[in-house]
Formats: sequence, C-alpha cells, structure tokens
Amino acid sequence: MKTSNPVVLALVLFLITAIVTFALAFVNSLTEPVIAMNTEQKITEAQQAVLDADEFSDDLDTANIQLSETGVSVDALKLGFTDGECVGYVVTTTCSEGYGGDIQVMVGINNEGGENTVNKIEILSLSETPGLGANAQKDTFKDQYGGKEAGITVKKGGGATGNEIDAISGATITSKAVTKAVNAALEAASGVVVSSDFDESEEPESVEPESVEPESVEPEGAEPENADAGDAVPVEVGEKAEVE
Amino acid sequence: MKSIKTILNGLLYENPTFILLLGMCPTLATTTGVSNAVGMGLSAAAVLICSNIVISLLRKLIPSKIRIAAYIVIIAGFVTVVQMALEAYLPSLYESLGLYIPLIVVNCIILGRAEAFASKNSVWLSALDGLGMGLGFTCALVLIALVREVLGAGEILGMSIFPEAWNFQPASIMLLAPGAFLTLGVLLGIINAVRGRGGKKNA
Repeated sequence: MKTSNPVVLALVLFLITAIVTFALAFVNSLTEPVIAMNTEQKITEAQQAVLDADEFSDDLDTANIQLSETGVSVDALKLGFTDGECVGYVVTTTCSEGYGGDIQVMVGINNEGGENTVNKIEILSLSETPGLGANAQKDTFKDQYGGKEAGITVKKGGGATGNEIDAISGATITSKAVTKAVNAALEAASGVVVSSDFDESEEPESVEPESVEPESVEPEGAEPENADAGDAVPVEVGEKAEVE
Repeated sequence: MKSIKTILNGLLYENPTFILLLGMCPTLATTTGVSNAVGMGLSAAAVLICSNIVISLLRKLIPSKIRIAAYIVIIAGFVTVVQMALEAYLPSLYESLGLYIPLIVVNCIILGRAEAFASKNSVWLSALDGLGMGLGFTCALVLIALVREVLGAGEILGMSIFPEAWNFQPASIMLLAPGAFLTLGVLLGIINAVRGRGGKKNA
C-alpha cells in the first residue's frame, strides 16, 4: 500500500497494535492459570521433598527478617508440623550472587531440641551454565548440605570436613551463592520463636550465626521470653527485639 | 518444485546461521546444551513461520513507510505468545532459555525474512520459507550445541556418553562463551572449505 498520509499510517499501525494486544490478552487468559498452578505445584512438591512433615503452615510474614549479609533475601518461611508438633522450617531464599543471576533455594530445616540443622535443600530456580553451575541441581551436591548447621563454608578442591561443603568443580561462585542462600535460611529460621519448643538455654545456639558476623549490627539474644510455653504454635518471625 | 527449493534454501544454501550469519546472539548464548538448542530453534522457527504468514497476508495492506514498525509489533506479539505458552506448558525449558526468548523479537533472522521474503511473496511460499529458515536455524544450533555439550560436559541431552573407564575430563571452556566462538569458528571454517570446493567446480 502506497500512502504517506500520516493519519492513515497512524491508523493502520494503531489497528495492528490493537489486534495484537487483544490476541495477547486472550492467550494470557489461557496460560495464566496454568502458570500459577505450575508454580504452586512446584513449591508444594519441593517443600515435601525438603522436610519430613505432615503439614505445613501458611507463609509467615518475613518482612521483618534482617539478614546479616547482603545479596540474599528471604522469600518465604513456613513451619512444618508432624502430629501437631513443630518439627522444622521450610525457608525459601534467593541469592543474587550466582554466576548467571538469581538462585532460589528452598531449605528444609530440622529443629530438634532448639538446634537447627539442614535436612535437605532444593534448587527452585537458577540460570547457571549447564555442565558447570547447573550441576548444583544434582543430588551429589545438594545432599552435602544435609545435617549441616549455620555458618556453612565452601571448600575448593575437595575434602570438605565438618561444616564445609565441596564446591562444584569449576563453579565456585555458584557453590558459594547456594551456600549463602542456605546460611541465610538458617539465619532466618533462627529468628523464629516457636513457643512450644522455646527453651532459654538453647538461645545462644540459635543466634550463633549472627554473632560471628562482625558487621552485624542487630542486637542479639534479646528474644522476649515466652511465658506461654504450653501453647501450640504462636509464632514470631524474625524480630530481633528492638533495643532503644 | 519451487516449494522444495524454498525449504532447501533455508536449510542449506542460505542457512541463516552458517551462510547468512544472522542471529548470532542466540546462537552463541543458547547452545550450551542440545535441549536448549532444540528449544530455542523451534521457538524461533514457530515465530518465524507465524510472522512470515501474517506479514505475507498483510503485505498489501501495510504501508511501506511504517512496515518495520508493523513487522516488529507482529513479531513481538508472536514471541510473547510463545513465551507464555512455554512458561505454562514447558516451564523447565522456559527457565533455561530465560532472557533469550524475548530476544527472539530482535533476532535479525526473523525481521530479515519478513523484509526480504514475506513482504514480497505469497503466503504459501512465505510459510515454507519460515519453515526452511527455522529448521536451518534449529539444525545449526543443534550442531553447535552437540559439539559443545559433548566436549564440554561429556553428555548428550544430559546423559553421559563416555564410559567411565575412559576417565573423560570434559573441557569446561566449551560450555562458556569462548567455547561458543571456537565451535562456531571451526564449523564455519569447515563449511566454507566444503563450499569453496563446490564453488570452484561451478566456476
């Protein structure tokens, strides 16, 4: 079509854009529920994989959680219950320091006698290099985190002992980012007080990860003692008590 | 006859990656594994076929002054459809292709075929051209990805192919950006050498 009338030109372009927009809106209305369902299903499957619990609570409010490190954030925190007892936490954290961007990790944390150890982790999303960083999704790497406690460090070149994990060869950055996400999850979980399990003597344990951080400016160990020790599950998240 | 020629043209004689050297960004970036390459190639092919058809249908209606803008809107529309469909039905592929799906919009193969072919030819031929170019792009990506995945990870489609006894040490560099350039360069060299010989005969 040969025309240079600007009104016609604008009208034609407007028509094309409008049609495309409606087509996209239609496709979106079809795919949106499927996408939402996929995401939910993925999360449900992952949380059952990382923590042995019969039931999971709803997401707790994580807005108040202050982490001692930057580059990592807490996306969600849930409690897991077996026979009405809180047996642990499922914490989802995102570390932005992966080689290919954000790495989202779901960490199942066992809480036994007030001590938090990692049960299992699941990588929810990552965009690392296949064959290198993407190997973080393999069980041989993920299973290393089982039983570890806060302050996990990465060891290069194999032979990790104690609270260390072996870095994926050629992908130290990825290994560190995943570890950071796991440590942040442990840190977030340590700030959760479940009153039925609350035991004053355990308190130093649960704040340990922060006390070794020199930059940490959060006042520690000031959790308000909970008198209602018999209550089933009142929960406080992430508050380090405000000290004036 | 012309139909077959159009398809072969995209697959071989004017292969977008190896001959026209178009769309290098996704070629280099998404060929770390065969599954990614297939996903990227087929997504681009789907967009290419659809956009070629629509642009060919509208070729007499779109004023030439705004044709590029119109093409981009149409292409972007199809890319977004592909993106939403992948996210809904193939979420794992969607995650590994990541940013490169939206980037199909600016893949110069697609705009190039719209401008060079679809805007001048019938719907049927344009669709075939899209198919041929799309498959040519897919084959090229798979070929590069095959080399990179085998040498860089010792795997094909995520499965180990070397017996453990060989103690094969994959060269990780093949999976990183330099590996993409090395592979592409060597493959281009081989293809040019083969074509050069054929060309001399004809001359």
